[in-house]
Amino acid sequence: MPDDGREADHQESGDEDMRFVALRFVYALDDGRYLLALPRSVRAEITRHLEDLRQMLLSDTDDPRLVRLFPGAYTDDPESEAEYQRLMRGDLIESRLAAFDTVERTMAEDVVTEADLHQWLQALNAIRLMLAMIIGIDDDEYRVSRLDPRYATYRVYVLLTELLHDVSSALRAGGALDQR
Amino acid sequence: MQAAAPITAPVEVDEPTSDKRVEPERPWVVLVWNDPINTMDYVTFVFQKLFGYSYEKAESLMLDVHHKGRAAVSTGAREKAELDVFRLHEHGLWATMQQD
Repeated sequence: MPDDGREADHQESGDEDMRFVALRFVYALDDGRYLLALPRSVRAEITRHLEDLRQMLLSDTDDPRLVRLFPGAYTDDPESEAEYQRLMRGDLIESRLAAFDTVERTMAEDVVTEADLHQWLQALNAIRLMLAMIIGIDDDEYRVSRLDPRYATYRVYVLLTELLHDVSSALRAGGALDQR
Repeated sequence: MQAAAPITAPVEVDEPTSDKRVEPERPWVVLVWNDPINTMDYVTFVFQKLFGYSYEKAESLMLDVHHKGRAAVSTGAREKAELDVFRLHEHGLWATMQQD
């Protein structure tokens, strides 16, 4: 499993294009809410990929690009696995679409609630899983060079990795985990 | 004062005829597997969020996943294990379940 990539990718690649912003994207506020310090370009990128993923989820969940969004539960029991997929796949799709709805509803906001940010966390990771399949990431140290046609997709993947790290860090800083 | 318990006639009971003892169902174990996509920090966060583990315990489980390829993150009855697997899948982790 890779580290959060916040600094390592920049240092190893020396790639100025990967320096999206020097500051964090998400901050915990004193009132229990969270500040989304997201540039408009980042919001647009997320929106575009959410729309793509939503269409894929609504059309064909057997699409190989979605394989990591629907892992198997039973590795050595095909009957139980078929039953799990029959019962749970619909719920998993619903859960993801609900997270997408929240992100789209709050996309233009600068401040969101803790519940909203948890939905952001799920939605962002769902996009990352899809992009990882498109890029073909199969190793912790996987990198894509600037000359590679997949580079633009890889840039978004790295951006989302950083954003996801900032979301979880902000939720920790805001005490979200202690409220369970 | 408590009333005396009513006297009931003895009834016939079907005793088990088999020598086999009824064993309680073996617990199910939820495993999380290493993958090259979910980051160490994110996996630690999800373990804390879903199971209420301390940072230290969540990080220790994450390191087991990272170094040993997998870790048992929860155990219990089948229904509970399925729910845990579902919640892990919701968060994009590669989780499976098997009987202990």
